[in-house]
Amino acid sequence: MVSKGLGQSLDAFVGLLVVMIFGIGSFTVPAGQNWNDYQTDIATQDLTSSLKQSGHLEQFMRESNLGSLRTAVYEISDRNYFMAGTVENLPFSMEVGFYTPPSQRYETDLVSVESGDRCYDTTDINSLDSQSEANLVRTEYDNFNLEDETDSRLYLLDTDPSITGAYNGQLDFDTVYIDRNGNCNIGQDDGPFYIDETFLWGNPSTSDPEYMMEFKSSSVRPSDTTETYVGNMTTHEVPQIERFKDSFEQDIMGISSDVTMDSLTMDSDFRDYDVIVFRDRGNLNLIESRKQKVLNYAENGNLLFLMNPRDVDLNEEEDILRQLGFMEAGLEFGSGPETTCPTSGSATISSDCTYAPGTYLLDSLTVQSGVTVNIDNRPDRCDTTHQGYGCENLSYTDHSPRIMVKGDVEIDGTVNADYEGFRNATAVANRGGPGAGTSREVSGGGGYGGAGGNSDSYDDGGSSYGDPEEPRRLGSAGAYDINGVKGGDGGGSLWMMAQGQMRIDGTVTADGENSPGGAGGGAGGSIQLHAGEYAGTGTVSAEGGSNSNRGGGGGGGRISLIRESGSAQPFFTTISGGSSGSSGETGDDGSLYTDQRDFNMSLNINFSDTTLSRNLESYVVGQDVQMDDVTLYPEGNLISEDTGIVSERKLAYVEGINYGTAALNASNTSMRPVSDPVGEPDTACDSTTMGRFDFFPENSSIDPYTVINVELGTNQTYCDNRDIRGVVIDRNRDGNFSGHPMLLNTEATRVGPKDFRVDTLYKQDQCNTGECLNFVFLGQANAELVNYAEFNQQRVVRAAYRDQYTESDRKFIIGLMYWLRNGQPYNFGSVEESTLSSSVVGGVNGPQYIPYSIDMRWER
Amino acid sequence: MVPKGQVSIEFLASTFIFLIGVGGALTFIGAELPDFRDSVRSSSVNLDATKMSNRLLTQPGTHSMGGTEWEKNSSTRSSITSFGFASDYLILEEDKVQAVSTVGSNANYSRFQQVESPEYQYNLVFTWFPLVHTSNGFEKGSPPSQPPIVEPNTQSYQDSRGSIQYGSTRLHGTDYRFLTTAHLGQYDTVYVSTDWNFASGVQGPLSAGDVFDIAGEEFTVNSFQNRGNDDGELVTLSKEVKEFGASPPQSSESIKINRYGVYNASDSEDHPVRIEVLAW
Repeated sequence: MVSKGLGQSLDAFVGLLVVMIFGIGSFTVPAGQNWNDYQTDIATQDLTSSLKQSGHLEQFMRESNLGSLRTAVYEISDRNYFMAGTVENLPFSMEVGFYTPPSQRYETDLVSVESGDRCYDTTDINSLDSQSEANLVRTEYDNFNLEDETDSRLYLLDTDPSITGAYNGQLDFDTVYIDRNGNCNIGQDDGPFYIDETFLWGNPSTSDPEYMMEFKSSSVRPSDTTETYVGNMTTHEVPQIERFKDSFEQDIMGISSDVTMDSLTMDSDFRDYDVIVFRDRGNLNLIESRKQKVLNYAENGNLLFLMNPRDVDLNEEEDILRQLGFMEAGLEFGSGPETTCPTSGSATISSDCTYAPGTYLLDSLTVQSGVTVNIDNRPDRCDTTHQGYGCENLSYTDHSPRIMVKGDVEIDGTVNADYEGFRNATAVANRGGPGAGTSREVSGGGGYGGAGGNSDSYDDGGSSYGDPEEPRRLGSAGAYDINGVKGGDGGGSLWMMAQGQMRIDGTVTADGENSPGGAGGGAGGSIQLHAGEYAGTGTVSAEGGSNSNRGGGGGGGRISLIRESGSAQPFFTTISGGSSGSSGETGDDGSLYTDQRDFNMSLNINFSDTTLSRNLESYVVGQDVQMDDVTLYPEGNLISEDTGIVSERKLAYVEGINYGTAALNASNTSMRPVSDPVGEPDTACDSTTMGRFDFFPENSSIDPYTVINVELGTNQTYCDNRDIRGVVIDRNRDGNFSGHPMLLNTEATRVGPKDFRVDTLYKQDQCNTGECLNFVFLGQANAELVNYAEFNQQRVVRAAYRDQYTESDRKFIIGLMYWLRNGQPYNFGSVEESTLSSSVVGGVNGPQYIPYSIDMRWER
Repeated sequence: MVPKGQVSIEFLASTFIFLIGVGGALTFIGAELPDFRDSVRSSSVNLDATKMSNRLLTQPGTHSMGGTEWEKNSSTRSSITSFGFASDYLILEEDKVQAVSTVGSNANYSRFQQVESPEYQYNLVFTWFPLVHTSNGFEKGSPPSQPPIVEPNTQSYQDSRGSIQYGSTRLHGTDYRFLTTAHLGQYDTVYVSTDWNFASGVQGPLSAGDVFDIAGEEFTVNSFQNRGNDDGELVTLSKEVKEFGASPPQSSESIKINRYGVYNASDSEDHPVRIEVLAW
């Protein structure tokens, strides 16, 4: 072959190439290792570890001293490494904006200081003038909107404080001094105050933040006629901001933070703030027209609403709360429009008023002589809606006010829960409560603490029920007589606690109603009192109602008196049964329970086990908040989300104050017979019914589920003799009931995040077989102290509004602000483009543990 | 048929090409080999230094009589079976660090080589960095009553501007108080005392690089914090507490890995320590 030699050459060459490739490959492998990066990686990990283990890292965190952290790293590393990073969880800095409504903003005219002014050419005023780039201006007293009890006056200077030793050549009056009391003396505390700074208005001898003003802006121009100026200045009244500022000076577990707080309007640039606070529900209508601006901010910022929403459906202005992610529970809790009595603070009641169901926390309570405080137990629920039985399904707080008083209670007038118990709305017997009297001709009295009296025609009085020690039930009604005369209403329910003394020189009553004709008298109701000690010679009464004819008297109600010390009952108490006019029977006496023991009226605030909740707890507890002094008790009708009652987002809740949960039951009283639905459990009975159940009444976007209520039996005899029923929910909504668990009466089941208990005996006496079925809500019912929602992954919180918070309230709210800010990492330092990074997690120890993490970027 | 002469020419040509190829390959390998060798050695030294420093800085060491307190006395030091300075991960015990020496004592470098059989030579320099948090402050002329600070009466102090920062740390059984001052916008001087009276018995004003005495030992004022918004809130001190190992070579063949830990000194607050590990 001609190519043989060339082929050998090529063979040899290819072989050599292979050898070279292997050789080059093996030589260049180590060259890929960057030993500088390797050494840096080891060093930075060690550095981080040593700073953490020596405790210095935590100390830097406590001191918010990240500059020193960077210095320490730089120095210890022999000036080899620069470090920058991001801290998460610790709120080192925060800018808070407080919305200030127009009623707290003041625009004041300004004029030049001229000859003839009261302080013209005086030493201090001349000194101010010499500091100003433009001639001094002052507030025009004749048109001064600020309340000026002390004849004080503001002087404005153009000092350009951002420029050292020079002026900017513009007419911008940016500095305020105050001449207090009009004596032309400018003291050490009288200025300078710059834009966004606050100053104490009026009398310097008081430090009451009520007089704090924030200097927001000024606008001054040359006047047309002389070489003088005219214009105006804007100030905001900021007492509440100032109080929060004072409280912010408290560290959280030694962590100091840099917090700025500004008063703002809807025209302000919201982007400057980490947290914006809107206060007082009444202000919602002021932001309604700019609602979109708030929503836009909420996409990147955090909102705190300090306001008490209504206890009925949110109105149009409050709709923004719904848009931000809060939900209405459909619950009825807290003070609502029905409550006209004071709901907080030190209350002296001098005219008639009403407490509706809910919990009220007051500093002290005085009911003046001649005044009646009406207790509204909303008995209408128990007849028109629930035909008497409904009230049994309501929790105590659904129908009874709980009045908690930190100090003393003085009752010289009347606290009246008479006739606020069960009613008989119709002439149907046994519909006036669990102890309703019965009727054939003339009627028996209602029972509660004691049995109702029988009528002289042997119609029974109602039986007794309830707990003598903790009486919480409503008294039952007497029965109608044969002529359709309505029986007396039962007495209502009252719960009142005074940490101090409870003096009753007036009356506290929960009597049953007397009945006319031959109807039965109403039973007395419940009065449960707690006090440090009792005093007074008044009357506490839970008597049954009487009948002056042949009907039975109502049974007596129940009174429970708990005290920490002193006399058990210095005042007169009566729980007598109501009398009958002729041959009917008197109702039995009710119960009087007295005990001496300690009790705690604190809100008993708890935090859930979620990380979010624990974080909030650390910020609150870390400020040494006295939980007993927190008065941010739950109000209104707002929950954190549609499943709020059982929500994992329940940040903080109050034990012992419950939402009513009856509204979350899923019931149906008109289930219709159905034959052989697909997937029906095997049964020989033919009494299956079907109906729709709304398990999420608070969320209209979730459709009701279809449920079958199946009578179970293996043969017809069994079916005829027993009424054993099983319930199946079509959970996947495919119309087929097979494959879903069958539930027997009282069995619990979960639908979505909610737990229910099956009640196949629901309204058994009112419904045909299989017609009525109830799923009783079993969720956690402790009321939320604060409500929490997420909007575009940003945090929104609502807490209670007060005109003046306690110090503990403020700290709690500050904890909320830190918690809101916490969602945003804090960046410190900067390095050039960094390829090396490390991270460390640690924690600040204190009453609680605040975990934090730092992501570090390194540059060599 | 192919003529024989043509076969020989082809053979010679192919041999020539082959030799050129072989020559080229050998030239290439010869040129790359030193780099390869250096690279391999660098890898080996780095990995060995890491491994060795890990062992020394994370383990307590042992002696043949049983136990880890090899530093306890001359008997334990002479029966050392493995070197180690740590009571825990990167927590270095002052007693162990001070028990070794390059020459002289039983726990010397020769013993180290004998026990640990290191593949390379080592030199370790331990530098202690006490960090003094001076995060508390007051305005000059208005010292707090608690702690009862008495201000220095030096001209330098009078000339200082800005707030005066102070703090303390405990070193070798004594609480040392520090007071830092700023000039020309930078914190640059510190006063050191064993009580809060900086008017007498005080060391200072000291600047960065100055040496001062703590319990008979010389410490250096390393630096002042002047970063961010936390000016004056930290003073770093330093003291070389030990050098152990062979004398470092003059050439640049050695590699250096800096390790860091916590120096557990007697009756002292915990502070970082840097260990410069030289290997060659």
